[in-house]
Amino acid sequence: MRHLLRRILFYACAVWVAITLDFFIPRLAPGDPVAALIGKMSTKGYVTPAMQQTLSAEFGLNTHDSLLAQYFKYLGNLLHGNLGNSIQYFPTPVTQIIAQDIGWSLMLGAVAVFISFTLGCLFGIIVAWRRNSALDTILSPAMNFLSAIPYFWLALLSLFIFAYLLNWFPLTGGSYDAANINPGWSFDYIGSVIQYAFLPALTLVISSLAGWMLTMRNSMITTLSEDYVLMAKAKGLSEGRVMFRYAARNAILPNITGFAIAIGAIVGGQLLTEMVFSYPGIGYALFQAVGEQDYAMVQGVFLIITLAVLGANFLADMLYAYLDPRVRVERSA
Amino acid sequence: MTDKQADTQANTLLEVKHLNVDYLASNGTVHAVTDVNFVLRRGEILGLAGESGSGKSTLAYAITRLLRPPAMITSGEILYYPRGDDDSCDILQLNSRQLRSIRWNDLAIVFQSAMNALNPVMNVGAQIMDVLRAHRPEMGPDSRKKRAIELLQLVGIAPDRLRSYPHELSGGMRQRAIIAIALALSPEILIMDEPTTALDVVVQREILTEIIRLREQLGFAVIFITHDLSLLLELADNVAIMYAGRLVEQASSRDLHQHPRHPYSYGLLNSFPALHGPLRRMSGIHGSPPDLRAVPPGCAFHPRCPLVFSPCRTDLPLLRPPVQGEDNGRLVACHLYDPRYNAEPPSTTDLARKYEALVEGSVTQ
Amino acid sequence: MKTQEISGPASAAPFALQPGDPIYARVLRVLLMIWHAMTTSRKVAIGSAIVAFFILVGLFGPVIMNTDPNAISTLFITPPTAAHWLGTTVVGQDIFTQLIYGTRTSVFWGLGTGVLVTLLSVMVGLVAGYFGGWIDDVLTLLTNVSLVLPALPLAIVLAAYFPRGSLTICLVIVFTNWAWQARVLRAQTLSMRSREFVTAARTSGEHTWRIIFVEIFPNEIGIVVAGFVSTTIYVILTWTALEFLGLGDRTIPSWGSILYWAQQAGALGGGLWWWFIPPGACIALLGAGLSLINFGIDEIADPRLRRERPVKVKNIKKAVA
Repeated sequence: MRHLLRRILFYACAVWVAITLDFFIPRLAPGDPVAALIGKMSTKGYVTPAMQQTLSAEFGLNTHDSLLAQYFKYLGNLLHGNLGNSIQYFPTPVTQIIAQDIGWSLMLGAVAVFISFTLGCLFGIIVAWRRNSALDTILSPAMNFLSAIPYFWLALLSLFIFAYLLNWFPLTGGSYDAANINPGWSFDYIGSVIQYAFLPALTLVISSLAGWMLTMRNSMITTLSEDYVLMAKAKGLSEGRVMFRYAARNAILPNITGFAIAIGAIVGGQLLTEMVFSYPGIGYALFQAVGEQDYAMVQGVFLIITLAVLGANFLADMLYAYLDPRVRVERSA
Repeated sequence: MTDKQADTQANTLLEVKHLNVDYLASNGTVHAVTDVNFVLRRGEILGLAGESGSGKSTLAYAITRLLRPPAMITSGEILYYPRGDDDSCDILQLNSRQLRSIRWNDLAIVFQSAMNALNPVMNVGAQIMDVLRAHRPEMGPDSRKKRAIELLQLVGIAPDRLRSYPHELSGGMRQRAIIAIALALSPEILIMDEPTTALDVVVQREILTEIIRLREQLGFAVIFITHDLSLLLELADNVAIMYAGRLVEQASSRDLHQHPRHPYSYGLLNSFPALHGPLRRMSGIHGSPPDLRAVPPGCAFHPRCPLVFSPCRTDLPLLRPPVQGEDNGRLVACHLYDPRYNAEPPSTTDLARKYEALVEGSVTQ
Repeated sequence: MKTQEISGPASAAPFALQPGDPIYARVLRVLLMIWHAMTTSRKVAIGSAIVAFFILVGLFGPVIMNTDPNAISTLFITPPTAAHWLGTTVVGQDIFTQLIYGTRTSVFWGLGTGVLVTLLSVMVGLVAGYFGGWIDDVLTLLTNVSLVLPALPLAIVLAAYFPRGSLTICLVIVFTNWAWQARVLRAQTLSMRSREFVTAARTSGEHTWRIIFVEIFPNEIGIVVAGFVSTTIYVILTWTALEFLGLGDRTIPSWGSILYWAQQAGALGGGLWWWFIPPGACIALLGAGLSLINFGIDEIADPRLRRERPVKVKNIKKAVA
């Protein structure tokens, strides 16, 4: 219980830092974002003075409030779920756009992470158990190499090979074939969704699989030399039970810690994947917002991403505490 | 076969014959155990003593086939005579299924460090019960729990500790828990690898008393491995002393205490200060144990022995009775007791004098 | 994405030094250890060779070539020919030249940023570990928060607002990536601090900063080096990612900016493989080289991870566990 409380406090602190960063970064950056924005929008059409006013208000630039007052106003807005209005899709509120996109990101991310983590850990366990076998000698160096390949390059490559050359998968992006199919629980729709999500998911899985497998393998090898594994063998327990309940159960703990920390990296990687594949998730939205200088969008998406990551981290922490009873005891530094 | 031999035969539980264990390393083969022979009788407490690196732990793990590569048993037989049966089986020849059924059922091992031997993410009760689940499939979850509580009480741990994790128990309790797990299936042989070394003397005493009591109650045999010879003198029925991978002396603990034969045994015994008696200079044993990749020729102990003479440097002494024709189980591997090399075997006072002379510095090595 | 960072040596100092030796002796010993690592571990040797290759290309390539990488021509989008080894871009620039010049930019900015990140994390780690108390509490909180915030999204936001350029990217990456190494180093410093040689130094009245830098730090050089390698992999990947997104300096050639322009010109849809494959391959190769060094160091530190070469044994009746 103590432990739970400390973690909650910590994450509350992290959330606060994220919100504050989100508030201050645009205001600390040099230059006048509004003028730049208006300049950009002028190329698309006439910008009315009313719109200019609204924009300035969005940025809180024409108010005479102190920075602190603006900050509290911002916090207040947040609590009401108001992230401002998007410039690109003016005047659609940011939250609405995010709500549309976040579903795709979550689906892609959840599937990819689940598959790569499970497969990675499984491979790691098997490879460590059968050390020096053909499997280990081939797989481990291959995975080494694979984990060094930059995410987005792998994505580019796979898009080139599978979509451009082989034409198995769509090249143009999107989450399903919007031109021909309507959303709904039909085979066509689900099939189309899978077709559009397959390649991004594949690259995500391949890229992160190696990392999980290698950490699991190394952790497993270290664990296998522990006395309690020897004792489990001495007890005449079945090989499966020794491997999973005694060895893997302990060896997986560093991976779970790593998982919590890697969530941030996973999200980052997914960002790039969505970008390359033009997959309409939250990462793609962020990228477009940056390109179009839609600052409200940028801030809003960043906040949502950060909150999601913190949430996932918190869950991973709880999972770890459940799996490792030693953590629950209050330990002095 | 004489009556006595027949009687001994019936009583034999474990017979180790010509056991050799090597560690194959790229920078040389380490002969951890060389040509070890001994017999363990039912209900006997056999002490296995020696310095660090003498091969005693390797021997214990070899018996249970728990050695990890690069250790390899290169030759030998370990004959086990199961309860009441006439036929024996060679543990080294068992396939993995047979091995698994013997493990813990007949042969249990108590590790040195209980903290490291207990799975940190499982509670103590679960670690007792999974042994029951693996070997006694007919027991249901309730009877398993009952047995687990029974075992904990047997070693003096309160039943409410069933769901405790290893890190929540004190050092002494962990050791007891390990013993409880070891006794779960009422094994015939219990191998204890320095079970009390990591504990303070008070707890050590409690645990040892516990072991003696349990042995009287349940009748299992014990192979007790330690470097602390004084412990064995109290606890064990018979003691075997190892040096550089070989057995150098075997005797009942009483005999060993009163009249140690091998100079190494004498040195070990007299490394411990006595609580009573006149003050005397401690000598210890000069030098250090040999590198097992390059054991000295002849008797491995000869570079450190205060009574060394010419055959020691060239001829390997074999385990034989110290007194010709005697068959009381005393064995010693020393040329001093071989009538072919030495007419008059030394007495304890001779050994004492030679060691003291070492201290005085008047004997040079 | 980058989960292999997690496997870095956590608390084992791969190079154990004798504390208390004079400085030159310790530096010499460190150099000897590095040499030893390079010559005994195959992984470290190959990895070092790859990294050295790129450094050399970066140093001498542009000097040898001596042409303007941004020079445009009329040969638009041509596949590799004898004149243009890697073909041309959409405005007729020679991709091979760009790649060579880009190597210099990417490698040196990457290594430089890696050095800065390591410096910052070492400072934080040492101070937090040595001083303890409230300083440690504050720094640890900062570290943990920084760890838990997603790095790439934050980097994107920062880079988007501040003026575009290499320096911005460098600072942004430093700001988002110092925490991991700091945590590792803090743990190590904590354990060093309770060792006797530190107590002896303090009792003899040695100046605090001297204790930190002269006594404690040299013992941690092994971990710092391993951490530097891990960090640099991540730095290079992040750097390229940010440039790919258009947040870097698009006017100078670098691996990331080549990819950016390739993407802008629709190289993928147009099948212009010669444009986007080479830069990515370079990144992958350099990353692989650094990874190899990393894994090699891991294996040196923890012998259990090394490849066991099974010893050939003939005609022996084996009984294995």
